[in-house]
Amino acid sequence: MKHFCLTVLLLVLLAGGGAPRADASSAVAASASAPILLPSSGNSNQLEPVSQEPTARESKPDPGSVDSPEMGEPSADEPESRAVPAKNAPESVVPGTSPGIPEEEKTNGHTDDLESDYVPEEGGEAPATLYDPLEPFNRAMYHVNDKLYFWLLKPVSQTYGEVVPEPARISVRNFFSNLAFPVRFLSCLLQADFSGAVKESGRFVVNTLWGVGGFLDPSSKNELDLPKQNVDLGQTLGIYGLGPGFYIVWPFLGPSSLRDTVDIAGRHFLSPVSYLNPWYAPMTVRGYEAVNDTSLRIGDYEALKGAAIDPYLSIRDAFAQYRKQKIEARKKHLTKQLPSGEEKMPVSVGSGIE
Amino acid sequence: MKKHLGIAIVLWFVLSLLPAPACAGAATETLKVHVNKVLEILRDPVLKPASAKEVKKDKLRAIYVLMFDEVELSRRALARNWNSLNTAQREEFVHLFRQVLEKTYADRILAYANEKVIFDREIMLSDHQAEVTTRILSSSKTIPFTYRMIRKGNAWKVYDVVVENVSLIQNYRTQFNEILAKNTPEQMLQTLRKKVKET
Repeated sequence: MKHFCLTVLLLVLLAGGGAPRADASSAVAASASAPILLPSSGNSNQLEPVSQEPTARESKPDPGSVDSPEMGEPSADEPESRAVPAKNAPESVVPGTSPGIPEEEKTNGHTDDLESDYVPEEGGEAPATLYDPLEPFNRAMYHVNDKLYFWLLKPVSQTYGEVVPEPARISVRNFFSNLAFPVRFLSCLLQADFSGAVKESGRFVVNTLWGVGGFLDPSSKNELDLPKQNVDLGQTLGIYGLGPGFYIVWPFLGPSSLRDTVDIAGRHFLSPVSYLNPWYAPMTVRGYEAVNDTSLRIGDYEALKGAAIDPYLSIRDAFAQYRKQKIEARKKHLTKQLPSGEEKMPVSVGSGIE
Repeated sequence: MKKHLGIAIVLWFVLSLLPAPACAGAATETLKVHVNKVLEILRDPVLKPASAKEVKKDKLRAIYVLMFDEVELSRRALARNWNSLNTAQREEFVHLFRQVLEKTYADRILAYANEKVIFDREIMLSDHQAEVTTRILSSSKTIPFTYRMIRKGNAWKVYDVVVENVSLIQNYRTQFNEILAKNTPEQMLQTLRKKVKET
């Protein structure tokens, strides 16, 4: 009995010891003294621990009323705000005194900041650029695809989306994704990522058998935790050091590059759909896949286009960035898998970012 | 007796080896406050009716101003071209750029309601810059969403958003670079003014 009491006592102590630790961290978070505690921001000693509290409280007094005088304000406030030193504003402010504070703070930053020039960051990542010698052709194709989307794909997908409930459409997307297994499997093999290849095969078997022919995705669930390998053939070539070549916009298929066109071809030959029998069957199935996919993503393209000053350039850059990142992420992933002992390597390789 | 004590001590060690609760950085904490406020507004049943759309937009705008460093955003979007604009042009650019973003994204954000935001991790890029990785989970997809934040004085503010590996600022930089290679800053501002006015 005594023993038992002792154990209980120890356990209580333990629980007690654990709790303050948790409290402390949340208190740190709340009082926002965290920057000082953070080792990486060590030389910020002059910082007062007020960084978020003011922000948090200031935004509380009904934000709607704060900004009601419309957006023309900054210029009106300019002379007044010059008088107040911007850096000290958060400290001198008593939180919640007047709803005008955030506005004032904002304009302070504005005028100070507007004067300072742009200085390129050293060590910044190289921008993703894509050579575009076919620009006139590509721009024409971009317009063709744009019209195709707004006149055909979007209305059809919208109607389809209204008729078919979302879970069903997600299942259909899973089915097609499962069908594209050969491309991912081959890509993993070509990247010498054998564990990836094994995972992909496992996924295919599990999803085909337990996922009712691929309509469900049980392998991504927590119990198995076999997420889809983020690989393709164009990426594989990229990992082998092949550059993108130049930008091509294909009718129907959209943005691509010389290198990623290999991916389109590979996808075609590795997809079972391509070998369906009546000659129009592959096209019909692909069309349906596109409609189903689009129905789950309506609005994405519109947003991208709407936000762009020149949509063609915006999409080209988005494509370039996306492809570059996909290859770099994979490279990092592959170096991490090196045999034990070299596991620390990627940390120094991807310094700063990883 | 000894045996029990032994067990307790082993337990003690095992428990103390458990990772201490991750101490999220200041940037993440600031971001969380803003994001939670946005979600609160989006889920507010009082603001549900379509007529409250403008109220919601006003509220979101107020958060946006606190959350984003607009000048930094504009400066980085223009990069070297920023230096060839005078202060008045810069001010107008910041103003127009915000309207361009607002026009496109306000409705997109208002369409969100049941999405969950998960904060994954924070990486310090330098002593005053951090990258906060988040994910937006909706019923049909997961969108990786990364915020790049900068500390000025005491406040952490967002200066770039990376969605599905595409950096917003980088994307605009490419566009403005090409546009300003062929046009003067004034012509570029004119294009923006037109864009803000249309529809």
